[in-house]
Amino acid sequence: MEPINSGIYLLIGAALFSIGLAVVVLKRHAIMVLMGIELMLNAVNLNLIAFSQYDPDRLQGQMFSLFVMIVAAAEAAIALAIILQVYRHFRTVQLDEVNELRK
Amino acid sequence: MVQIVFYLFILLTLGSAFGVLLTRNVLYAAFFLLLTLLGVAGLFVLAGADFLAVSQIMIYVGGVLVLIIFGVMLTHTKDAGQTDFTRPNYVLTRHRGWLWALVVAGGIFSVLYSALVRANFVLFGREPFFESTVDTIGRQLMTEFVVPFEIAGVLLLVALIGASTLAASSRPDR
Amino acid sequence: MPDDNTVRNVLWLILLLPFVSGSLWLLAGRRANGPAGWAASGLTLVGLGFSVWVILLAGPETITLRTDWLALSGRSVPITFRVDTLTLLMLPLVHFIALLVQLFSISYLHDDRDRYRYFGFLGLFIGSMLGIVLAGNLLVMYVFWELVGLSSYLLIGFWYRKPEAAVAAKKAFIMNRIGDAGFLLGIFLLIFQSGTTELSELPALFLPEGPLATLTGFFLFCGCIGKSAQFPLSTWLPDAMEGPTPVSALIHAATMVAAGIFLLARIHFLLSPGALMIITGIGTITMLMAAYAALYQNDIKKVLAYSTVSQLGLMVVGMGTGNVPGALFHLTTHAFFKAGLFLASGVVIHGTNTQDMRLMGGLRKRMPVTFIGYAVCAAALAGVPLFSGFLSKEAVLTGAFDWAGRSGGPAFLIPVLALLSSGLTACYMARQTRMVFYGEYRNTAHPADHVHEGDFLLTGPVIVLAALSLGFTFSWNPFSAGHSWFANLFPLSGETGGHLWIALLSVAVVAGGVGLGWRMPEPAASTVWTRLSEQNWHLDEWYRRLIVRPFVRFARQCYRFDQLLIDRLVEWIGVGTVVLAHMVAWLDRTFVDGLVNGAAWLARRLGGLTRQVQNGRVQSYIVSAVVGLLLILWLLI
Repeated sequence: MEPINSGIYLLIGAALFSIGLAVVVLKRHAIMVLMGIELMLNAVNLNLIAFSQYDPDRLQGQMFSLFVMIVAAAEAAIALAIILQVYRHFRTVQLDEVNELRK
Repeated sequence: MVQIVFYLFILLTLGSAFGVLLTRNVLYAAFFLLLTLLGVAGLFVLAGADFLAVSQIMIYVGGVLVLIIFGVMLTHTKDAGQTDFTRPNYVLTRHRGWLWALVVAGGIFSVLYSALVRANFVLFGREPFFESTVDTIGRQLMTEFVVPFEIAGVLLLVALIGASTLAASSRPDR
Repeated sequence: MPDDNTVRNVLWLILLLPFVSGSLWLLAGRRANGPAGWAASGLTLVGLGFSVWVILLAGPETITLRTDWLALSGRSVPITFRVDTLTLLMLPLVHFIALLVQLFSISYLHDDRDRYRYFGFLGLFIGSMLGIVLAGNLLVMYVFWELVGLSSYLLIGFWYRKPEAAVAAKKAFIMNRIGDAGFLLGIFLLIFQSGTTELSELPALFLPEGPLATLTGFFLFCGCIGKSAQFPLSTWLPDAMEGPTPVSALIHAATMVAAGIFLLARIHFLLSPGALMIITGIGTITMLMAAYAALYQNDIKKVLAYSTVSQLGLMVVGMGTGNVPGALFHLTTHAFFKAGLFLASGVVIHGTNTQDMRLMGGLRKRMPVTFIGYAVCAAALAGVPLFSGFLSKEAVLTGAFDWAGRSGGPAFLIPVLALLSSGLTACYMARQTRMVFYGEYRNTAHPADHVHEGDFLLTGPVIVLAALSLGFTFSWNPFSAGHSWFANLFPLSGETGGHLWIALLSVAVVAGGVGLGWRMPEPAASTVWTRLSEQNWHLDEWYRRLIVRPFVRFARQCYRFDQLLIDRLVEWIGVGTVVLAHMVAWLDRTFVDGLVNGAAWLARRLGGLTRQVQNGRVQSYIVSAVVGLLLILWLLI
């Protein structure tokens, strides 16, 4: 197996994070925002794993990203439940129309 | 060969991520996200994290993404702007101004890029190590990370109960 | 030796009783209409009793009661009351006539709705009059003097709904004020010269010599001019007849107008020869003018009013000629017979419903009791022998002739003129008696059958007063004042009884006057002379022309000046203020309000800005968080 320049992983992670951020900021649909967050978490995971390959004994990076995935799954579940409840309350999930915080 | 596959995965990941960013249909975005996650899983494999790649596919594709698609379906409203009833999965999202997204994303990317380019990671000079990580992860989970592992289990349980409680209709008539 | 404390207490009681009774009726209002008359008369009777008791207590010597009123630095103003022979004469006199008048009023005003007010004012008047009589220094006297003026004003204007009564009341008040102002000036001059107004201390401190003393005397006499209606201020008294007739009897015949004479008697020792000269002159003028004015009056009360003025003039002449006892004697007799005349005329007015003598006549048969009372009093006034007026007039005339004899030369004019006025008095009294009681009844509007004699309350006082007008009341020798009890109290001057020719002369003059008056053509042809009499020498007209009109013109000028200059000035100030206010308002709006509004606008803008940030959109929070992060990074790197 040829070694791959790990710096590229970091760049990809940066790009993915930026795209995820762009999605979070750009989209108005709550679920789209959730997707953007997933993208950003994946970008973080990429970074962790890129560093983790130089630590074969303890694999701290991989362990950390494993927990990130677990937490992300839990977060997704909770977030979707919340979105469902918001939808029930406001009859919409377009975030612009959910601006109770403003008042 | 590996290089080609690597770049293909990079292309898949970033391309489908851009797809998520650019498309207005939420369902398409979900599918693009699926592709992105698969690409990321590929990249995991290429970075020597085989267990994580599998978990990525299982957790994200099998769990999170299904949840997301269910969410899209459950919260879909047939609003007045949507006249074409021949395409029931045409769930559109609206974009706000591109400016702030560009500024924010471009800014963070340029910052990270410049930082990464200038940085000289000592770690990267070492020889990477490739072997199956399943043993190590299992051992680590049972030894060094046993407390977080247990807590993660509790967290998942709490999330399960919380999600079901939240999602459950508070008013039975709905 | 009378106990000082007893006298003091009794005096306080005498002084307070009428005030208490007066204020009682005034406070009680209409409810007091019924009992007021009898109760007031009763209280006056009590007062009379007290005053008689005081006479019995007090000997011939003077009693002075003194309380400090004000104590200024080094000088105190005391309240002093003085009881001497003069006081002892006046106290029962005032009480007695007041009592009779009150009894008379009960019947006279029996259907008036405001009797409580009448008796209230009457109480006030009696109290004030007693205050004057008792006053031991001029300041205290001045206080009661003013009170008398006030109550006189109130009583003249008792029927204030009648415009003439209101005008007459005002006139009386203003005329009295003029005199009182002079009186006050005199008091000030007296204080300036001697430092006190105490009647008991003045004789030692004040020297009645020199022009300043003459001035002081004249000013003090001004009070008398006002109250006793002497020449320049004499016009108020005839007008005051608009008041109820018993009021005229009490105030404007017997007591109040006598206050001026009383004052002269009190201050006689202060008067310098010059002042006495002025007093004599004014008295003579008043006496003659008023006697002439009474000749052609047609109002029954007006005749009596002018006669009162004339008699007061005679008393002033008596005072001026240094004959204090004679003047006081005439004051006393005059009080009785003039009150009797007024009350009798009240009965006549009550019976005939008119005051115009041309509408009377023949009443001798209709009201015989009144006629007798009236005739007796009129005879006394005219100076017919056997009646009291003869005695007192003779006393005054004797004094005047003695004085003229001492002064010599032109001074004999005074007693001669006094004799002339005495003749005039007889003349107009004869005319009045004839017009009222003789001849045919002439009023067609009020049939003769309705003319009725007054009841006992009306005629009783008249008869009592008439009895007191008989000469025997005063002297067992009806031809000589020197033998009267009065002469024992106040030794008459001159060789009394030594001037038989004066008595004979005056009898002759009176007889002539009566004869002339009886034959006076009626109605009189309107000539310059009759009009002169009817209009009281056109005094009112002259006053209107010389004083009132210039004053009105001056007031109008002042008004115009006010309008032209002061009003305009005020207006300009107002306009200036408004303009300034507008400018200030503009400044306010532009700068102050602008500042405030600007601050508010700024705050609102800032709020809007921050509100845009705080817009409730989660994503914009993320944007700002990332931008902040970027900024931090940019700063760090």
